[in-house]
Amino acid sequence: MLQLNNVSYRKSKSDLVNSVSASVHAGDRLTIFGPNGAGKSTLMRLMAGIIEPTGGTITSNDLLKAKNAIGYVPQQLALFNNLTVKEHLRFYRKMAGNNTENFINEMIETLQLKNFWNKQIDELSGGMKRKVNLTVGMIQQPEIVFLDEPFVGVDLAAKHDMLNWLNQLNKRGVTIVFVTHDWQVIHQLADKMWLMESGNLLQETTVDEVVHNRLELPNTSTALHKMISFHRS
Amino acid sequence: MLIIWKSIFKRITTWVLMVLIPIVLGIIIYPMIKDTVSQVSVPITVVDQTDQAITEELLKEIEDSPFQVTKTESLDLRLLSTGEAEAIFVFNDELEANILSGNTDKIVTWYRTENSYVDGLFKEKLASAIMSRVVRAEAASIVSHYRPETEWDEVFKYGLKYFDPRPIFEMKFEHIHSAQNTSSIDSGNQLLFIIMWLYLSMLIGYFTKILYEWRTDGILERLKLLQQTQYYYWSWFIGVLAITYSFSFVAIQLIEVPLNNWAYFIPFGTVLICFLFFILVKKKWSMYAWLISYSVASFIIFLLADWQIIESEWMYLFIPTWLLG
Ligand SMILES: Nc1ncnc2c1ncn2[C@@H]1O[C@H](COP(=O)(O)OP(=O)(O)OP(=O)(O)O)[C@@H](O)[C@H]1O
Ligand SMILES: [Mg+2]
Repeated sequence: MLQLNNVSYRKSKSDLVNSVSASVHAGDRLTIFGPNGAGKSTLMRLMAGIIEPTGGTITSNDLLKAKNAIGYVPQQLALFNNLTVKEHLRFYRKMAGNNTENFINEMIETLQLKNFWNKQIDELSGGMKRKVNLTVGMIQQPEIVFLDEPFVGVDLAAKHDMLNWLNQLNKRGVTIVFVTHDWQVIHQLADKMWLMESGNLLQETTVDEVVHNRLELPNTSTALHKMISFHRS
Repeated sequence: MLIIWKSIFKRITTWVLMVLIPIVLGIIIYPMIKDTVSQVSVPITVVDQTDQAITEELLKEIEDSPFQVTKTESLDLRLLSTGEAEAIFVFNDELEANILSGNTDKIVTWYRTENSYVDGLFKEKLASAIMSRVVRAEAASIVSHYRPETEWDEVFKYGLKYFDPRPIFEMKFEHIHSAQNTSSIDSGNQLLFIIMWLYLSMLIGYFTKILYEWRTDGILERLKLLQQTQYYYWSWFIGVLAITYSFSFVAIQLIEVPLNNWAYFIPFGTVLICFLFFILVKKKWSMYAWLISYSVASFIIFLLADWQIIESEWMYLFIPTWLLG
C-alpha cells in the first residue's frame, strides 16, 4: 500500500534518510528500530507525507490518497498548552471533519481521558500528555497510523489497554507503523521490523528473526548490534 | 478556529500587547496631539478688496474659533506655500448686495493646498454666518411684499430670533487647490506615526512568533495532515489583518489627520513582511533579529525620506515611507 523507491531526505548537507527502498503492506504491524538519530522519525514523516523526499519517490494506493487516511502521532507533543483535553478533541474532530464518534469514544475509554477531561495541557503529567497526543493523532480514524514513540511515560495499565486496542484495530484492517525503544511494545505490537542506522535501512526483517538469533547483523552497525544483543541476553 | 483564538487570548502577553500597551501609548500620546491641535491657531487670510462693513460683521461672528484671521485687500497666493495661511478666502466685491438679494453664487472663493487640513471648519462657519443672513433677507423681502406697511429692516432683525437651530445648507464655494508641495506630514505627527507603526509591527511580530511556536511544536504539521490544504495560513493572515486594521482604524480616528491612499496599505504590507519572514526564516530568533533590523532601518529611512535627504524608489521597500506617498 506504500512503496518507497530510493527515498532520500537531505538537509543541511547531510543525508537524514539515505536511499531507502521498501514497502508497507495493508494490515502490517511494522516497527522501525534503530539508535537515536538513525533517521526513524524522518522516515516516518516522509511516509506520512508531512515532508517531501528530496530524492526518490513514495507511491501509495488509492486508499491512502483519500482524505484522513493517514494518522500520525509525532514524537513531540504537538498540543496547545493552554487548552483543555476536551477543547483539543473538539477542535481536531472538527478539523478532521468526518464522523468518527464511536472510534473517538473507544479511544477516550481505553485511555481514560475523562479523568482529566477539563484540565489544560500544561496541568497534565507527562504520561497524560502522551495520551492526548496519541488520541489527537488518530482522531480521524485512519487506515494507516504512524506512531513515533507513543508510549513514553505512559503507565503500564494504560499502555496495556492501548496495545490491546491497537491490535483490535489492526484486526479490522488498520496498518500500524511505529517507532519505539521499548521491547515490550515491540513484542506485543510488531511482526515486521526495519533496522535503521545513520539514515540507512540496513535490513527488513521480523521480530521473530531478531529475537531468536537467526539474524546476521553487519559488523559495522555496532549501536544496533548492542541494542539487539542486549535484549537477547 | 475559535478555540485557536481562545488559546491566543489566554496568554497574558496577548493582553499586555493588545490592551495595556495601547492604553499606555494613548495616555502618553493623546494629550500630545490634543495640545498641538488646541494650541496652534490656524492662520486664515480673508481678502476683501473693497473693505466692506459686512466682512467685519461676519468675522466677528466666527471669532471664538481656533482661527487666527488676517484681513487684507489684495490676494497673495504665496502665503499658502510659505504656510503663513492655511487657506485664503476671497470675498466678492458685492458681497453685501449679493447676500441681501439672496444670491449665493460664487460670493466667496476658497484657496487651499494639499496640506490644508482644518480650514474646512472655517468654511463651514463662514457659510453658516452668510447663510443666516441670506435667509433672513429673503424672509424680510417676502414679509414686506405681503405687508407693505412693515419695515424691511425690522423684519430682518426680527428674523434672527427664529434662527436657532440653524438650517443645514449647502453653499457654493469655488474651491481652488494650489499646486504647492510641501512636506506631507508635519513634524509633530511624524514621531506619532512611526511609534504607531513600531507598535503595529510589534503586535504582528508577536502573532508571527505564535505561528513559529505552532510550527516547532508540530501543530502546523498536524493541521496540514488533517486538512490537506494550507488554509490555516490564510486564517492566520486574515485574522491578524483584521486585528491590525481595527487598531489602525481606531488610532487614525483618534489622531484625526488625513492620510494619503498608500498609508492604508501599511498594515497589510507589514503583515505580509512578517509572513514572508515566517516562510523564509526558519528560526524564531532569526525572525526577531530581522524584524528589529527592519524596523530600525525603516525608522531611519522614514526620517531621511521625510527630510528629503533621500528620494529614491528603493526607500519604498521600507513600509513607513508609504506615508509620504
Ligand atoms: N530539522 C532538522 N534539521 C537538520 N537535521 C535534523 C533535523 N531533524 C533531525 N535532524 C537530524 O537528522 C537525524 C535523524 O533524526 P531523526 O529525528 O529522524 O532520528 P530518530 O531516529 O528519530 O532518533 P530518535 O530515536 O532520537 O528519535 C539526526 O542526526 C538529527 O540530528
Ligand atoms: Mg525520533
